[in-house]
Amino acid sequence: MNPLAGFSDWALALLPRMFLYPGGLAIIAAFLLALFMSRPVRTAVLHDALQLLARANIAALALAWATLSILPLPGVNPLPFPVDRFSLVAVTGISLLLDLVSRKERDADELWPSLAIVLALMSPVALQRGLVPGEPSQSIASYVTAAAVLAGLVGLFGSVRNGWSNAARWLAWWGATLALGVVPGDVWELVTLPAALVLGLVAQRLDWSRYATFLAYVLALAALATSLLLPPG
Amino acid sequence: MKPANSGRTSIWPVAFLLLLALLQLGLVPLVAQGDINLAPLFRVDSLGILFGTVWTLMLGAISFLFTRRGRGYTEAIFLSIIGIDLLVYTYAHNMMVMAVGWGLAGVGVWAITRESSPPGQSNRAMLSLLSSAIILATLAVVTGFPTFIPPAGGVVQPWPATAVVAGALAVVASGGWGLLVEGQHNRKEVEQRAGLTLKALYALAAPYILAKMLVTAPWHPIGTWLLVLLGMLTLLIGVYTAYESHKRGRTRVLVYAQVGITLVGFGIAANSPLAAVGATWVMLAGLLWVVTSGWRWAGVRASVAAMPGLWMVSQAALDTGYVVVSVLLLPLYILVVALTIIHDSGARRSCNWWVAIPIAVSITATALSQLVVEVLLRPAVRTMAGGVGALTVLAIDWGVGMTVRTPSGGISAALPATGIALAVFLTAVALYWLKQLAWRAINQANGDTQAE
Repeated sequence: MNPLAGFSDWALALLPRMFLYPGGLAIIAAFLLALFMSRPVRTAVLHDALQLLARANIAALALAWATLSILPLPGVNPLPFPVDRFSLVAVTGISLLLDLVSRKERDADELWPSLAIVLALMSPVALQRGLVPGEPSQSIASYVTAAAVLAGLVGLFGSVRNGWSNAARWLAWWGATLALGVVPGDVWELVTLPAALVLGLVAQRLDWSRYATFLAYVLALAALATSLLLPPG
Repeated sequence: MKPANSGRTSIWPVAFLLLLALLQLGLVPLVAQGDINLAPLFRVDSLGILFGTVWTLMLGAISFLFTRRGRGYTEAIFLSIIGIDLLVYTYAHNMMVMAVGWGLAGVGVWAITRESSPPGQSNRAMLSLLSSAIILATLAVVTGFPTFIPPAGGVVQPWPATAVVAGALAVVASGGWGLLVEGQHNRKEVEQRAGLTLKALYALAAPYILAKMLVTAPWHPIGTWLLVLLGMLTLLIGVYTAYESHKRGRTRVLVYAQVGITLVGFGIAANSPLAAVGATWVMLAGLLWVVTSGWRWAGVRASVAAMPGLWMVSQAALDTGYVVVSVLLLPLYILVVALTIIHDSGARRSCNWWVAIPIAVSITATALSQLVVEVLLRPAVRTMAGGVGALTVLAIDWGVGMTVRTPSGGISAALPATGIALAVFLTAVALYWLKQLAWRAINQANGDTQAE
């Protein structure tokens, strides 16, 4: 194929994904999530929204938004060029690194749960023998992976209040798990997003985020172990 | 003692190194028609031109750093000599010539950086820097002075496991030992950074030993396994060092990570040409990282450049059965970079042209990774014909990215680097304008409040 034609096809497929669905919807949802989590009680919403927008780390947020835009979600027209799990995880990981660089305080609160999610999302390659995601599986390893990601999202929820890019990454991790077919899409979609939001709020209020992160690591390592023990699909 | 050339900057050492780089580029059309054999000392091939040019350019940049403030003229001359020694190392016809060039370059690095070593450890620093060359020279003697010429045909005897281990130890020795003596005393910040960059360059040039060995023959299967194991151990040491390090350990951590991943890549390369390309990419990306590692922002952005190489090594590890390696590479790499950021407290935030150029190169190379692979890396890896097969699994879509094909024609990995770069660019532009609008609204609201 003519390279310019290929680039053009990609660009034309990307634009509605970026500004409508899934990218546009997800980035607005992330903004609202960050706004809800970050604003103190009884302050002007518009003022807080403008502050959230003005403080956004463009580089980190752009990477998270790009991840949300290129997610190969079920039911969405696929992009003309496939995207594998390494690409999705790496782009979101780089967004995290850029946010770590720009912060004045040196906290690793977002790092450890994010790494647990990265480990969990990479574990299924042991079953598939390729970085391109395969068909959703119903094996034990897949459900352990899903549980690990869910625990990681709960542990990560507290960082959502730090900014728009943090919230966007949180949604990107959730979306990547859906797109990579860790478990059947309807199971993940219906159950995990509300559960992660509620459990994340509870964990943050009770200061249980570190326990959720620890559980995420245990489950991620268990997912890796079970993926290695099962025959490749 | 008043330094020579005090108050004036001399550019002739820098110009000399740049001229060397240009001369090497001039050899590209000749090498395209066939490797240039200058037996018994030198052999010019695509692999050598790629790394020789990059290292010479880097030395020119470090030389400029030394002479920027009118001091370090002597160091700049030493750097020119190191450049020549590195070219001997790069274009060596056989392993003994390679060891001689490597050893002389190590002596040069020690001579420049000895004043920055902690008191009483200068000799230890020299021994550690030379240990790599000593191991290489011993290997050359034991294996009968092997030449770096691809086999003409027939069955190729693989490198025995002991030779592979010796080569790996030579690589690790230059990286780990040389940087153990990392103390900086009584030197200006710019000279401290230049000295550390030079040591890191020396360490990151070491995996070239394995690349040259692959020109001749592949590894014994046990040798492959040992290289992968040693590479993962080196990477884990990098993770541990990153976790424990404070302020001064950043360069050492980055070197451990890059050398570890390169060892894994070259280890698997005998069974997967994709790994050879990935390892070569990671080596080059590591050099960009080292040059900009003094600036926290720049270091992260330069580390982005390693991602395509990491992608190739991960898929190659899957193809060759090293599944755990494939799963762990990306999380460990992100962890290493993140910990160096978190533990870093003193890096400058400003960005000048010294940093901007490598950043621009790294971002462009990542966004157009298929171009880098086809133009630079594929010819270089083709040189390793003795140990690395033909690269047939990697398919290029010039407009979007790269894919790895399975034998049945399916796709096992896909990296739309240019496509992702386009997505990031468009979202960044949209966010920039939104941010500008937000600031205007805030300023207007603040202005209205003050007026009231």
